[in-house]
Amino acid sequence: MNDVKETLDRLVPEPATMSNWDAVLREARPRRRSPILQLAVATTVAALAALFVVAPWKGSGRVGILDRALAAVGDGPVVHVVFRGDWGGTLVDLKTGERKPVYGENEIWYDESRNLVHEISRFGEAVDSDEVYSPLKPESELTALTREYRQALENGTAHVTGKDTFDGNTVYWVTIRRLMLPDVADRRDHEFAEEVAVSAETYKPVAIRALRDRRVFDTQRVVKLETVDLSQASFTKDPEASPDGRAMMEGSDPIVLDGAPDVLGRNPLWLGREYARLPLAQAQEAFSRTGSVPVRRLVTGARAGEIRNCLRDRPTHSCPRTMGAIEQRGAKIYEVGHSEFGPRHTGVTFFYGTVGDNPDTFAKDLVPVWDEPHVVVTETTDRELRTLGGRSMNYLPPEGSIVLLPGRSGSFVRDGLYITILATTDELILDAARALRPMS
Amino acid sequence: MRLSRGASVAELERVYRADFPRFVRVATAVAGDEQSGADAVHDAFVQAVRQRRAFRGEGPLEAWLWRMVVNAAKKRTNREHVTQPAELPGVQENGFGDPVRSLVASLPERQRLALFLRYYADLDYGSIAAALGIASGTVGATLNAAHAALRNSLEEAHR
Repeated sequence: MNDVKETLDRLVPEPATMSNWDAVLREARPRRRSPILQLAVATTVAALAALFVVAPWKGSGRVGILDRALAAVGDGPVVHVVFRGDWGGTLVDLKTGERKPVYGENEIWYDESRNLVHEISRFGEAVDSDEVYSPLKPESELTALTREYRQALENGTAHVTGKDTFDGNTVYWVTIRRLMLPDVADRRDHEFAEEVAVSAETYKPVAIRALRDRRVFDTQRVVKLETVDLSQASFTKDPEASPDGRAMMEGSDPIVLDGAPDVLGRNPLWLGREYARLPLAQAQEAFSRTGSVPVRRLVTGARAGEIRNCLRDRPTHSCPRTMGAIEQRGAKIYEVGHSEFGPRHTGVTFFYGTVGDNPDTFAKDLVPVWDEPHVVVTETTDRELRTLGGRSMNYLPPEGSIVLLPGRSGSFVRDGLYITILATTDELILDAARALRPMS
Repeated sequence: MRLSRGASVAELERVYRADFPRFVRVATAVAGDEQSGADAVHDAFVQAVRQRRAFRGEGPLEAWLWRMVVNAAKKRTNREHVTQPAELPGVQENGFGDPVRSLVASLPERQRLALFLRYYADLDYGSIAAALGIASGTVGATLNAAHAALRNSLEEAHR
């Protein structure tokens, strides 16, 4: 196959483009919501912050809804807001079937003067991630819109649109922006608006929504919104919860069924040799290791020159494969080292479903076929293992309950075992959770 | 490990830094030029960071990311109104480069993508299957068909 390989190598030579992870993060982090909703979020934060600064009721002798809303928040330089996202789960009582939501929330501290954001993501009140970062200045929606909306509020363009009921509470919808914007999809102008729902009882904002042509297309709940002094603000992340500098590896290897108790260190819970007409096709040892992301080292001198020459001369001269561990940031060249990983954390997985042949080794019936119906039970006594790979699992549902997550997975704790079930449907997850029993 | 869901930013960064050249090379092959390929990789990882909680973890993270990169590159191809299949990047003339390039470009999409992932990304069959969302058993046959077509073309070009 060398002829094919050589031909393909000629068709697309090794790329010369350098990686830029910072650019990825810059674009990804500030825009977790849709652009319009983000606009609305940012403008809401900005507008309410601005309202407290400009104090528009001064001298008017009139105390209206907006005035009360402003008074309810404060006038500090730092905006503190908690948004409730749509990435939560559902807590299900395994005995009664009672369901209640488990919310995902983003708490944001924003200091415009320092262009600094502290963002904490939580799932079920357990911290999922904790990051402090500076958004790009020219593109910072928060910064730009703070100014824009301050002016709008000073001009008195914000106004109460109407009275409504939201989540069972009476609210006033306050329109803080309305403008015509082109849509590249149909190349026509459309009216976009952002509105804030203010509680009629507390006058605090409880939601924001974005509208297009007067139809709501996105709504986000505001759990909290206030402006505070710098001394009351938090811009220190919890290093334990920060993903920065952390790397991990994970995997699973088939084991003989009888070996499962030894791997787990105790008698496992399982669903028997068949469940829901799905055979127990494989037992696996699941493992993970955590470590640090590779160290980046500045390259100087002749080596840096050699790398630059190599990059500049492409595509006529191929650079060695080791160039994959090179980063160029402006004029500086960095070499990226290897991750170092800590001890191995293990658990046991029971795969009910279909396994297929491994196309690499031709070994028969070794690879789980995820496209077919399946129930997969993974359990461990190792809390470290539980927290790796997805920080949402820092949340522990109460004993006797399971938390269902989008993507058809459920996690719970039973008898000291941290258990996760993946299955084709949520009902299959719940049934399997109820049916688990000691292996012997 | 399947106990948890979602991918961390650090995991995404690890894969990005480790495999960036391979991602760009595949995306370049799909999108038609290196700038578009690099942009596609950027777009894919921006989406990956934003949607990292949606990663279910039932397959390797790398496969999930490869699928995002391939999709982003295909999207760029469509966005730039390049008639499918995408024009592959220019190569040094060697007497048979053009016919082979045309042939690769005219392969069925699945064959073309499998070929790119196999040779530019060095992915094994299982990873190719996961990245393309196809059964792993069909990857071998897909590659065989692509190889046969390419070999025939090379032989004709050498005559």
